[in-house]
Amino acid sequence: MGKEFLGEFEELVLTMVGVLGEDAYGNAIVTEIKDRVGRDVNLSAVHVTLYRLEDKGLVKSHMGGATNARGGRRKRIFTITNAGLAMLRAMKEARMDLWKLIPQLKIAGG
Amino acid sequence: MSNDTEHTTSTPTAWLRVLEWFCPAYLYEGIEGDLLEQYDEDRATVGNKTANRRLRWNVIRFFRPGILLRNRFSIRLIKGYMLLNYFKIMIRSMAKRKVYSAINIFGLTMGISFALLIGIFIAGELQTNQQLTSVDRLYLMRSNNLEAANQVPLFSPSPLARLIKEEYPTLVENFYRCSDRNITISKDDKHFRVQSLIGDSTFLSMFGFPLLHGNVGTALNEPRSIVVTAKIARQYFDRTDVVGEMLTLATEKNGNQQYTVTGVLEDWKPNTVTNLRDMNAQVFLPIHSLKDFNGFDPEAWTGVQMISYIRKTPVASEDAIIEAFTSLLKNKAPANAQSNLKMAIDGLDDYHLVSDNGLKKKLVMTLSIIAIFILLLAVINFINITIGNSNVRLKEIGVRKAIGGIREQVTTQFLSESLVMTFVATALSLGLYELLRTYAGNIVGTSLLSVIEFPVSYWLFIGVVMLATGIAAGIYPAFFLASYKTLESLKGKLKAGKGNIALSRSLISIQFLLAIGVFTAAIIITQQVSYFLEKDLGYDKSMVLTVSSVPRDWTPEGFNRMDAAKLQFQQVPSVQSVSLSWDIPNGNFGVVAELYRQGKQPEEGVGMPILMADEDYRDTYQFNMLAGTFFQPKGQVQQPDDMVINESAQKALQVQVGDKVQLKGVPIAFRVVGVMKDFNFFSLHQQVKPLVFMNTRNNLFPAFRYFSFRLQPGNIAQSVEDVEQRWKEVFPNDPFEYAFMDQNLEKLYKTEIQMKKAAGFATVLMLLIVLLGVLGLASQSVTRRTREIGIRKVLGASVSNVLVLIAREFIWLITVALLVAIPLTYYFVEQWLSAFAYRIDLQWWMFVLPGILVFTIVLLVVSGQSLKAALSNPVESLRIE
Repeated sequence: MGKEFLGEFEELVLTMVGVLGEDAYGNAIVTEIKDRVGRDVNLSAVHVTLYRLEDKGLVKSHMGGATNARGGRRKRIFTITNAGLAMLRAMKEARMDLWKLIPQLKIAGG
Repeated sequence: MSNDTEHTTSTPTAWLRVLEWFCPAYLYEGIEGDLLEQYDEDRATVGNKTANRRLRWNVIRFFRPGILLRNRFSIRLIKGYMLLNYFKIMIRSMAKRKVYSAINIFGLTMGISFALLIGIFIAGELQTNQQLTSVDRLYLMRSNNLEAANQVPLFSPSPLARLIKEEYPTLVENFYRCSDRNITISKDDKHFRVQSLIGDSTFLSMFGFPLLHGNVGTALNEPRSIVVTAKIARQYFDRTDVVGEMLTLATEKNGNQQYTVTGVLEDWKPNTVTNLRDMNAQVFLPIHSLKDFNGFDPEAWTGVQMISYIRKTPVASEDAIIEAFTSLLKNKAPANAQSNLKMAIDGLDDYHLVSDNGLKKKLVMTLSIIAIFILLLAVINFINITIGNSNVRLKEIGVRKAIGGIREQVTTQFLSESLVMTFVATALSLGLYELLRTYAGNIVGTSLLSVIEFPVSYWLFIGVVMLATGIAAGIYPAFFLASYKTLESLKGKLKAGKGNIALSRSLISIQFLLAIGVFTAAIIITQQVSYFLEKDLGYDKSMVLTVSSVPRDWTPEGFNRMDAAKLQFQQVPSVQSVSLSWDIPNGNFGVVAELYRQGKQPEEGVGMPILMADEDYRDTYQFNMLAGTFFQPKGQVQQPDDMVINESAQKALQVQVGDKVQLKGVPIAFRVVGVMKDFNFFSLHQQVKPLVFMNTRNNLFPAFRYFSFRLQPGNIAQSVEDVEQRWKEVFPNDPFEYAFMDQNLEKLYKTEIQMKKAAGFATVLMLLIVLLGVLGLASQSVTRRTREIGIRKVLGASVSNVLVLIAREFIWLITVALLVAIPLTYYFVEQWLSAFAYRIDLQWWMFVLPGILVFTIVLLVVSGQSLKAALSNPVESLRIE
């Protein structure tokens, strides 16, 4: 993926966008991270990261439909792009390659 | 908007508004929604209070660069290419209407040039003294005598300044005392009379006068040392590094003495110290030189008066200093010196402006008002012409707006046009200033800085004036034109704008008003000045030549030498009579004393000036006697105790010829030998006051300063040359510095003469600008009514009918302006004249004449403009579509 690299938090958010599919918006991502990884993250940090990912072309966003909840405000729904998926995949593979290079613990004995 | 009333009632919407303020609009909804969702959830789980706190905290956390920098800063900049387009259009429309553009730029140039000349003059006046070291702490001492007028305020008892510094070091840091003397200074065959100051060695260090050569600390320490200005150095030596050179000074007490030059001063701008009362001192002598000239000890209390300056410490208050003076006078001064004397101090930083009853300040104010008027006139022309011409530009504005130009852009366009015009006018003005500054400098009696020498602050000020003028001239037309509806402006029809015509009319009335007002004032000032110069003063001032460079040897030998000299001068055929005196009627007088009739108490004394002259004074000045003679008849022995008094003095003292009069504190009695008819010996600002003459050869203070010659009528230049020729034979070591009495008198009314010239200049300028405005307006009104004139002519109107039609509106305006101008001007000139004891009476023609003149000129211009329309064939004008 050229020179583009993702930070750890960016990767986490990007992954969550992929996980949540059509339901990925700021609050949902915060809740999801809390539930799955057990990490308290700040809403504003998630938003800023999402916008940055959008700038990089890894996610795209559109406004969802109006609801009665949220004071009638629409959600900004993020979806992962092909570039985003490719990036995630590339990162995962690169990590796996590296992982394989770590000397594995051999079971002693016969 | 929301059905969910549950949270709209309690949401801290204020915080969301904060978010809205810094958050980019396109992100706002999503973020706000997330925040509200979180908030609702929090309220359900942790309660309102915590939910509110969390929301606040979340909002604050959104205030971060990742969000803030996503704002698109949308300032509506006018693009460079639009400015270029504006400029192009401006040039085109200016070229299309050359006359109006020329009037606009020319008018503005006039206004700005005059404002510039006056502004630079005022800046110079305000900066007088500002170069002196810490001028805010420098003071000139002034002594008031409560009881009698025998104290010249400028002169103070000389030990006072030294004592206050020594006794009150916490109040006063430094002092300088000086005595002014006019001295004949010679070097080989160069003889000049030079104004000098004899004073303390603190002169250079206290005021911070910079030396070109020499040592500031020691220059005035040694006896017979002399500090000269660079001008004097060049005058005698043709160079400035003359430290160590010798000059010969003709002293009053010790004959000719050699002085060594110890310092050369840079030529300095006029300031209150070296130019007090316009004395223009050029050489400076140490205090020891008092022995050579005045012959008094500066530390003695009685009879010794010097001009004294002090510098206070930063902490001292003026009141404390005055108190210190009071207690010094009480405790240190001998009883006869301190009687009724009260000291005051005048700060040097504004002394120049406020001295002489604020004469300079008045001049500065009057000139500033005139400058503002003239600038205003030019701005009015600009506004009138732009509005009058606007129908030409309306279509352009319509097109601009139709293809998407917004109102602000049109406003900007017209504002920038007027700014460019003002800029061009300012540039032209600077050139004009450079051409006029010598002439204008002569009028106001100073030299004005060249443009190249302007400091940065002047340029800033010019920039501000330029911007202000440009905006003032452009703002109304800009907003007015931009506010036109697109459709109407496309049609190119100027709404029958009653408002605009009313504005144009009131503006031009103001112009007439100002022009007529200044014109009237100029006439009245001129009349008053000629009255000053031509009034019968009670003596014959014509053909009197005065010479001030008389060698001042006041010993009996000196007097005998003068008698011989007088005989020599009598033999010059063009000299009718010649007189030696201490005073000439130029407004200055040296001695004031209290007089009383012998037998009365000294306390009943009346203060009056004592003048000194010889027995030929009456023949020379030709004033009338009421009784007795002017001293002893010619050829007889003069009595040193003879005295001649004027009519007012006779009334004040209640004496007759033959009575004896005494001076307070002087044992000698004087005998009244003659009573003169009152005449104006001093300036016409004051009423005639009591005065007395003593003989130059009195026993109290025998002295003389001037020769006065009455010349035979005829070739004056030849007569002056004859006298000069004889002078060089009689006094080969003294210069011949002469002035006619008329010239001396003109100096007396310097400020009034300056004002007269400035007012005359302003009148011409204002009339010119008004004429330009009228020219523009008249030709517009003719253009606007071309068809109307055509129809009228078809229906049988004559040429004169058409002229009257156009002229009528201007006649009406001038009449209104005149009616307002007369009482206003009357009030102001009456104020001005009330300051003079002898003044002209205001006459009706002084107010009506300017009106009639302006009226006639305007009528001529208007007729010239409308004649073309009136004479043209109606077929032509009606065909225009």
